[in-house]
Amino acid sequence: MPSEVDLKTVYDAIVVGSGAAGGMAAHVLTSHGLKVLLLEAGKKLNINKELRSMEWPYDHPRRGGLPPGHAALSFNEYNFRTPPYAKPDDPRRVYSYVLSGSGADYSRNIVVDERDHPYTGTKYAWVRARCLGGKTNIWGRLALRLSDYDFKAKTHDGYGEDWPISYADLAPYYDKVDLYLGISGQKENLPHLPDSLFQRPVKLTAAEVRLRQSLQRMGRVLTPYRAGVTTGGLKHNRYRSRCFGRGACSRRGGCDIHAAFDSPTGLIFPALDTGHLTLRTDAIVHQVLVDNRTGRARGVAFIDSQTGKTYEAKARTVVLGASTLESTRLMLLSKIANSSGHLGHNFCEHVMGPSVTGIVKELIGKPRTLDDGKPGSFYVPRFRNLKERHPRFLRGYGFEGDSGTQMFPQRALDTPGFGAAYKKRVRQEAGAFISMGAFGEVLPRYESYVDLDPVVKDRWGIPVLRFHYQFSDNEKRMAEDMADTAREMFEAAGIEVVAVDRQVLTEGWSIHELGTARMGSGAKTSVLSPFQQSHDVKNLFVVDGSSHVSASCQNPTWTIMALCWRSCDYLAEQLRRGEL
Amino acid sequence: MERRELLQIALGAAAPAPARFFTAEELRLVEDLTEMIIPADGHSGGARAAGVARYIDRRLAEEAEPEPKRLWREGLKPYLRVTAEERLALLTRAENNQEAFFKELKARTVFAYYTSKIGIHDDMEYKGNVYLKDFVGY
Repeated sequence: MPSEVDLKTVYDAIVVGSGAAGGMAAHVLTSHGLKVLLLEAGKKLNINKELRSMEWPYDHPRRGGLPPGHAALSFNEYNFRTPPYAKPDDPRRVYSYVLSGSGADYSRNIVVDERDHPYTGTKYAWVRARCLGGKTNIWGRLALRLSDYDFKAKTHDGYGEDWPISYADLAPYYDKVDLYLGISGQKENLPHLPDSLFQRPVKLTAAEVRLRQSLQRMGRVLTPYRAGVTTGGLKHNRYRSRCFGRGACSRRGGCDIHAAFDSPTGLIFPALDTGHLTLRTDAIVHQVLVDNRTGRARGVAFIDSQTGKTYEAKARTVVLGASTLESTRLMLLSKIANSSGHLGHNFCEHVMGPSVTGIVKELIGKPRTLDDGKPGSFYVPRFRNLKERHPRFLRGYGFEGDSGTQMFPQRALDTPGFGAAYKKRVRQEAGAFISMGAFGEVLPRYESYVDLDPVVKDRWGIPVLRFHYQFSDNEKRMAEDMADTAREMFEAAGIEVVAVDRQVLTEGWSIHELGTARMGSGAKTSVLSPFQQSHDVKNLFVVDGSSHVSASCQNPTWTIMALCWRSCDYLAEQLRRGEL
Repeated sequence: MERRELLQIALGAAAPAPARFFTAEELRLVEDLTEMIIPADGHSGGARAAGVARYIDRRLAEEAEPEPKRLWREGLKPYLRVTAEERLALLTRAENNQEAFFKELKARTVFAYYTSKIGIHDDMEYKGNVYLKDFVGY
């Protein structure tokens, strides 16, 4: 990969960021024959060396743990301190909480060193991945569609704003994403969680079948994890294999055969094969350059992260996909796209934390099965505030869960006692546990926002974001309900509850930050058009989660990619017609 | 493998490498204590066979923070003073009181054992993390 690329050319489009949004933009725009320059702030990792999905713990000198001098932030550090969480002169490398579990060593090159990337304001666990592919290298892979319960949420309950599009506008693009990237799941015909064009679903374990049957009697659903994983294979993509269900899939740090979607193999490498894409990594874009006369973007300015040299790149259109908050930061830095005064505002995400763990007595001591050869086990879709109205909170939440045997026996650290009896108990119970935790919709509010800190700068001298954001009573009441219903559902299924966690995790923990540059029909109350086009700078598009009007409780990645595909089709058509 | 272990193999030495954090006496004690947490049984080997004490020793030698080192050094002292028979009573009391050192000893032992070859393959009979000839379902 040459670090120097042709910067004399006026590209058809510059895409900033290479994750789900930027990668998808590169794919769609090059498929229209456009000449695209893709700028990624991080490095290009050698994925063959980086992804060690099959390494046994005992073949790693620290069983997957971080080396000395590397540290991850803990829950307490996020909760009892305020950002910035790492000082620039900390002698250690400091990572966000995602590296606090075992196996952290496998993804430490993917996430940022917090010392170089400070932020300020209210507490927030902001997880950032600067490398080719961004957070798609470590994502949880739950791939869900939104419905008109989300797009028309205001019509439904009166709060906030409706999206300027409906499910019918986006459904064809969800289909395209399903077919191009592959998705595993099972049809359920739910109006609030539309089905995808699924490949073979993951098989439910005995405990999950039991919970599914019990939930049916309550009018609720448990469905196999809808995963952005190709279980049937993709004939059109030579970089990705189908899933073989090998097991130990929960390790962060990517899937070495790329059955699980990641942006490099799913989108960027095929786009490079078209010959229309130029890739430049280590390129930290810090300004969108706008022509003062025309008010149109003419390119971007970037800093080489390694040399500190600055460059300019020119294009007819600029497409931001740098992640929700980084794209907004970039527009704030450029002092553009904010005639509405809404840029940075209407920040939302998912609230998480409450969870339940239970044991199915009948499964204790049963022979071993291979239960973890899948990216996730099951999903319980939203059931609150659909037909009935909950008296204590708006919107809803869904549960992600898993059960059965994993490489490390579940609850071994929490099982009391020691000695022969302890060892036998751990062995016999290991496959009998089932657990699930909720993700809930956080309401967007104008008062929830980010702006630029007037003083603090990152390692490259670029002003950083300052957070003004915290959960409200709606989220807290919803979280109480999560814990209550989780217990109630397990008990109804005859699953013995062994632990209920009611703790709400720090803002940001879900890594589903959304909003801050919302779409809308009117330029007075929104930043972007229904095609994610800036109302102010007509040849600027913002194709990531920042455009979302509300958070839904469904995980956003698939929606980010469907919206991006739709907008990039529009961009290509407008460019062809000479409208941009 | 550690450099000095390689050296010893090269030299054909029979004696095991010295511990890096523990004294020889402490290492023998940790081998005994971890085996008491997870003993060998009819089904599989225990912590001793799984090399748990050596693993804990390596991690403590690399540890940057002083607190875990202090906890181990101080925590082991009472066990060094009693006979092997009295250790069980001491360990049981430590568990009942949920003493900090007991929690640390158990947590490290459990992690090291169930991430070892013996723990994963013999004891848990884990079936995953292998390339499968045929797709067996999830």
